[in-house]
Amino acid sequence: MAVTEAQYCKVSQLFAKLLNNEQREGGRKESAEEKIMLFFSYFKDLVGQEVTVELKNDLAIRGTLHSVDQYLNIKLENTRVVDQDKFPHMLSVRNCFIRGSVVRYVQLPPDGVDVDLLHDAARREARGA
Amino acid sequence: MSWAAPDDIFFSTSLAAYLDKKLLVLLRDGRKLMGLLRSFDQFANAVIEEAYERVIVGDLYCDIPLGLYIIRGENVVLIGELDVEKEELPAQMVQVSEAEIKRAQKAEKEEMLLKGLMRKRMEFLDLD
Repeated sequence: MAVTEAQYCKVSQLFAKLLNNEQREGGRKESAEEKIMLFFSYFKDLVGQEVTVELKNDLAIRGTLHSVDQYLNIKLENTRVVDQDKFPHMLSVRNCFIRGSVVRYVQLPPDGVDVDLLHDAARREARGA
Repeated sequence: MSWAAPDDIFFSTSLAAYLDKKLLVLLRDGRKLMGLLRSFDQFANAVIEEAYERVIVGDLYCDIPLGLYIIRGENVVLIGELDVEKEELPAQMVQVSEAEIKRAQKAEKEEMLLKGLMRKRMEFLDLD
């Protein structure tokens, strides 16, 4: 099918518009992501360390940090529940996936925090916002 | 929980490593569902086959069969892989019938209610 000059112009204009939009949206997304990414990358550095995750339902689980994702969902290995008597159903759970939205605290190993690095990153972010 | 390449699937936070395994799903209302994970997505929505609810009251417990369940991700607290070699529950726990566990549940609820009521009545004492 032959494409007329006018049709071609319209299509290329449309493409230009779409491309612009995409770039603008891409930029916005990146800055939003960066904000969350601070803690995401921070937790990624903690992989392999022993942490205690306290959930909003007061269940506290200790285990080796296996992985984290952008929602701060957490996977633990070799888990044990801190108050086992209160949660007997967790007895045979060895590995678990915890949804990020239900986490209240993550208790870190004492040497797991590079305070200067975190300070720096936080300041950089504050300047950017 | 993004899609991971096949070789790092076990290092990622995706639930793919738990597919077709027997799991414990803890829900936000405190319910404990068990069954086989058949599917999931990035919100932790999950399809659980041969699901049953484990009701625990004190030292009594009961498994109530439910069938195929789709759980909306927002209600998921934790998904745990069960160690087949370990006992699922402490040895002193006794399995009872559904009717019995319902009765025990009701009794526990009433007891909690009563405790709350007593506390309220004694509040003027400022015990804490």
